[in-house]
Amino acid sequence: MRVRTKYEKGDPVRFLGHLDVARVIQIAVFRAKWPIEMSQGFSPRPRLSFYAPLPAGTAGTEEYFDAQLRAPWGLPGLARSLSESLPGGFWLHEVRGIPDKEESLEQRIVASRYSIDVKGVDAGALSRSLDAFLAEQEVFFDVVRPKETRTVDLRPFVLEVGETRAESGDRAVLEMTLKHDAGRTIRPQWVLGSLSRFGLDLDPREAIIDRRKILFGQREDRRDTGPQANTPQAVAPQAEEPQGPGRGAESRER
Amino acid sequence: MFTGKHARGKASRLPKIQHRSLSWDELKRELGKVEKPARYTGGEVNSVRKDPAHVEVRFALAFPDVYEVGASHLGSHILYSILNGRDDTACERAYAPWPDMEALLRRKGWPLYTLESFTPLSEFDIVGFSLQYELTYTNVLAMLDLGGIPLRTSERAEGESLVIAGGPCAMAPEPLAEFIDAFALGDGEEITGEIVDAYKEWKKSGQPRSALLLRLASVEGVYVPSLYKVDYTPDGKIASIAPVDTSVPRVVKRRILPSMETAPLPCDPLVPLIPPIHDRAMVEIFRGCTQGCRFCQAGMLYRPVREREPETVDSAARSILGRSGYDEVSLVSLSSADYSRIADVVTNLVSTHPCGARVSLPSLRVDSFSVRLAEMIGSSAKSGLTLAPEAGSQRMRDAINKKVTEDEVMDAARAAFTAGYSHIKVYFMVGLPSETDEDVLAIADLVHKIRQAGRDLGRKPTVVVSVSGFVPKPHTPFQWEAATLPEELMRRQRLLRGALRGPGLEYRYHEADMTQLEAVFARGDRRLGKVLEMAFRKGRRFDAWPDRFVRGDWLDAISEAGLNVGFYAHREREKDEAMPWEHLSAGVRKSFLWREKERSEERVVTADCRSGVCAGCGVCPDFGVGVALAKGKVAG
Repeated sequence: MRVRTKYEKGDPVRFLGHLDVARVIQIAVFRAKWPIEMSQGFSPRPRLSFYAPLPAGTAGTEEYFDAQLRAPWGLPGLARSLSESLPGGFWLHEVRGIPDKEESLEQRIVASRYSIDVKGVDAGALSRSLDAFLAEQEVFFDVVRPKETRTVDLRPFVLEVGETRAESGDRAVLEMTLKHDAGRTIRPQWVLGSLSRFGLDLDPREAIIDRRKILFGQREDRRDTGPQANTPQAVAPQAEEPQGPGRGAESRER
Repeated sequence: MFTGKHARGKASRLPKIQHRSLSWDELKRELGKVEKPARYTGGEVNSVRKDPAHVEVRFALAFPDVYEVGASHLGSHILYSILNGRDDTACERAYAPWPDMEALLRRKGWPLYTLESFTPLSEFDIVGFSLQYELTYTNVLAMLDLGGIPLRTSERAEGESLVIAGGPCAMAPEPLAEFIDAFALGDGEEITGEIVDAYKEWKKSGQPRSALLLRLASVEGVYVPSLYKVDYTPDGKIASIAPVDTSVPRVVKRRILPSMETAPLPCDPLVPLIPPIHDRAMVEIFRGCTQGCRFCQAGMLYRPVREREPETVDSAARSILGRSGYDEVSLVSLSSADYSRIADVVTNLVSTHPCGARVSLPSLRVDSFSVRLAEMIGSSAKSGLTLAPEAGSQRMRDAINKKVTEDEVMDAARAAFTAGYSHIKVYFMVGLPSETDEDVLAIADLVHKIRQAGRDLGRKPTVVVSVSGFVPKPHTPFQWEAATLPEELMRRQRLLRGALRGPGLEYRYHEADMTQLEAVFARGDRRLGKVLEMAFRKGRRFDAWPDRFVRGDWLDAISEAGLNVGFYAHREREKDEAMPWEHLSAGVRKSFLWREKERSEERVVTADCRSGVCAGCGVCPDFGVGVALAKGKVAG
């Protein structure tokens, strides 16, 4: 039996990195006594799959993982036990059955929609710098990692930037949709970091970023790997995760 | 130039601490700037948050090392569970912030807070530190300072937190004497609650802080350093340590639980959300070790051996696995292969656990039985096995009472290679008392033989040799010995390194300079408090981490305080010299320790008291306790 779980990664667990989230969820499914199937070999690992990794600091409203079970269990029971076992900050939305042979969700992810909340920045200035960003054909940005610095063209990944709104407490908020391309994507923080070139000075580390939705669809040509191969118009995101057969079990509401 | 006078200044103290809990919204925008922010956000599985309005005492457990180290510490888990098990107490936790987080806290003027409720340390009635290692002492000072608590006992006003400390270093805690209001000696299970009770009674009485300290001094096992006066001889040794009040005990005796069977065994362990250094469930199978290795402080400090019954261990292991969500349980002790029922317990757990839980055993002995055990638990895909012969020559092993022969080492190594291990890690010490170059080179000989044994068995072995410098520790037979000078330690390390080149050999060593500093503080007296404060003001933190250790700052602090490294680290003590911990009794008699030192010089081995032969250390008769070995069996 295979199940797909939709959950939220909120506060304070937004500060967990992807591998930490996978570890915590593994611990939670063991605590919940889910009959998880283990991989074969010297050090058997539970058969859990995670998708579209989020970095430490970014929350996710609708995240997914799949689990392969040894024995069938009632979906409501699975949802209830997991819901009780997850640490605070994780919220279970749904557990539903999917076909054993269903292709990996990763293949169908075309974009992520983020909400971004920055403080101490004028909403008008932020909006103008984003317009300037969007007017460019390419925007190169240096992604600095401990062992290497990689230059990425951010522009083709930015599919959509919503309206910037001023909020109370000196804050500005907006939504941004970023493309996933054969598993590659960019972080909203990089876009914010690149705005210094368009006249805006802000510390992207102070932005509160939540992924609101993972968008699914079919890519035009899955074998293409470079972001240039797919223009933003080539993807047709559909808002909802495609429903497979099987009944969903709603769990705890926020 | 930084001088001693300026070091006492308050320039680096935080701006006035905001006496309120931090808000999550404030933190959220800043934590993205530090490494591993989840160290500072709490929310762990099985963490406990109580409403402070509904308790009488708020207790903060403070661990002076980084989160991943502190969150693995079994003793802290036990105390957290005991304290939160009381209706009248809320226990929360704080860990030493890594320097990037300390900088953020100082930049923002934020206090060090507990992870359960984001409350500043200064808001707690009692702040209790765990002292595991001497090189974490400046972190204690940093945590007090960041928490908004005055550093020194003498500076704390009425209404400020009571600062206490426990753990192995509390048995010789004089360098921290001016900073800690009270030390809890020995097993913490009972004494911690008694301290809370004494605190509650005092709070109700409306008496001044000084009355609290006097009241605590009457709790068995509590040492209140400000109630003792230390005098020095003209040449700087201890002349006397005497209580300042007749109601204060002359000697404070360590607390010893009579039985582990009746001791609390918490089965809802805290499960951190980022992997701690020991990322598995833990069950303590016994306390104490009676091997009697003469260099080993833990072996002296936790006597006598008290085993849990196998049924207790088995059911606790199952319960902890289920309630933590871990898939691996570690059967913890100072020498797990010594446990009377180890094979039963391991076999039963491995064969009957429904999810095929893995079992791990830290601290295995050097013998083929231990290797068979390791094989039984199929440890980590045959990747590695650790053996600790500690010394290379039989002469040296006899001197330190490490009761293992070369034949046994080789049997263990062959058993490991036969079982399929190809990677063997061996631990040794250099700088032991009476050690010669011949003894050092004997390590290399033994390592070569181990590698050859692997080759003879058709393996392609890797032998990782890990060598640390010997530090004489209080309450051990070697407490009188001089620590070897760092230059000499390095020379011996180089000598060994030179003899250990070649394929299949890896060499790792502990920094000789860190060893020296550890030797200063392990047997230090109160005058070193000044050094700790100066080192703290110079920015010393996390000096147990080799890449953060700055020797120059420490040497400067020691000389600015008018003290001398050699006096503390490299001086042989006289037989009758009063030690800085003369007034603290671990139960092992000084006469026994001296006899063991003499036997070491004569290369005479002393038996393990599990064997039934009493070595006469004095713990059992003096403290009214006894060795308790498991009798039962697990139903297989």
